Amino acid sequence: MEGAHDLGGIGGFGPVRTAGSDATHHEDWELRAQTLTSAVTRGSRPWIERISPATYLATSYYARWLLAAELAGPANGVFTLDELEQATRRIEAGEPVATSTNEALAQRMRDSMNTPVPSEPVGVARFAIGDLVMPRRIYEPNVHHRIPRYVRGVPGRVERIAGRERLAGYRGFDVIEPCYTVRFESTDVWGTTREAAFAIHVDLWESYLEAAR
Amino acid sequence: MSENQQPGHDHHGHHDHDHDHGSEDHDHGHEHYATPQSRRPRSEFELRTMALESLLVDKGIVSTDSVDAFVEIIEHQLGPHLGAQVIAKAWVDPAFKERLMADGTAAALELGIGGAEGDNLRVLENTPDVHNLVVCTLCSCYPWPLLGAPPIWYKSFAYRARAVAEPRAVIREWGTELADDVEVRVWDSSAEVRYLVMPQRPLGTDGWSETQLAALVTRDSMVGVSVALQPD
Repeated sequence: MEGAHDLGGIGGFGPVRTAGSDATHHEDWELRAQTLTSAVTRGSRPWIERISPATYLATSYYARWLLAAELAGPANGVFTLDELEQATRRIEAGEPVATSTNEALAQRMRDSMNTPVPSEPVGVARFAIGDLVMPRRIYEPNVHHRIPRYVRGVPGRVERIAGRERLAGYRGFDVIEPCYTVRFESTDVWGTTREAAFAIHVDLWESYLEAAR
Repeated sequence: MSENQQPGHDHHGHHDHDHDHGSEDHDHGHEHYATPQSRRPRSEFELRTMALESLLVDKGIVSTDSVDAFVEIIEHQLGPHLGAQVIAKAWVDPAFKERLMADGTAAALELGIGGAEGDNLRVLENTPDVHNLVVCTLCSCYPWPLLGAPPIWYKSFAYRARAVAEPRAVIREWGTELADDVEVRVWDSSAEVRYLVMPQRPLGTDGWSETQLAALVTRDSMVGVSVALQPD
């Protein structure tokens, strides 16, 4: 998707540190919204990226998770908009949130949070450490991918082969392929910058890259 | 309005349920929607989240205790104290540090630390010549098992936009001025690797225990916007 989520290098947002920004969230519903959304989307990023750019930039972080659930629920056949609307009316009318206990589900949640799933061994990789590569220039307004706009078409060098991972969208979610850490020089990305040159590393799947020279 | 500029809400924090709201504008005496027992929603998004939880519980897709389990883990069990433990051990134990740099996931697991969003952990060492800074420009990727949920500033549009374009200016907001001859390396967590910065060990801490050292390792120093605390 070519959405508003791709923020690297946009100017004008002001300072990073603002009053209250050291907290992890504002209100209690926010963490609940996050995990509810994960249950609905089964992969939240593509749905968050589908939020219209105007809305994306006008809503808070956890509100965007909720919006993603509201998009994904009907699309994934989890609930209909009508069902959600009715549930909203009931809560609005003072009905309490439904409750249930399911120890198996709760344990599955704890296990998923507490058990790392290491990436697979790299195996055969097209590129080697030190190779000059370039993230593809693409336009995929409807397909999820993880190529930040600011490095597309910019040459960089493979710094490390990070692992063999499930590809994020683009050419399908069922593909598992090598993922590379690529080092870019700030001068190649931004030209002359306002501060001393620096390096930017981006993790990119093999399908995202082509050889550069 | 951007996410870290919600008037009237900036004073809400990472809080327990028995906190005092002070003069805040809620007039019903209700708690926030921290549990399904909370009654009246205070905002449109809170209402919609309550409706979503109710619907998913009715359908058996989530249970109240599974939602509670997530909140309990991300809010109370995980946190920067875990990352600090890893860093402090690496500062005093060269063999552990070597293992940590080679395979962060496996080394952290030696201390019982690891899980979702930490499956492929890479530790980045700050030195007098190199300073590392971690960001996720596309969303909010962050090493949960070591740092817990990311702070609001990490998820802000400003940080995601600026960290890859003017990292020194961002770090300056935390009061650290990096010399021009220090190589700044920014890491955009765009895939499955999760990054943790190992700040430089402060001078004057020879002979300190891991526990004493861990108290100097702040969350912000493990993201790279800041440095470790200095001993008093």
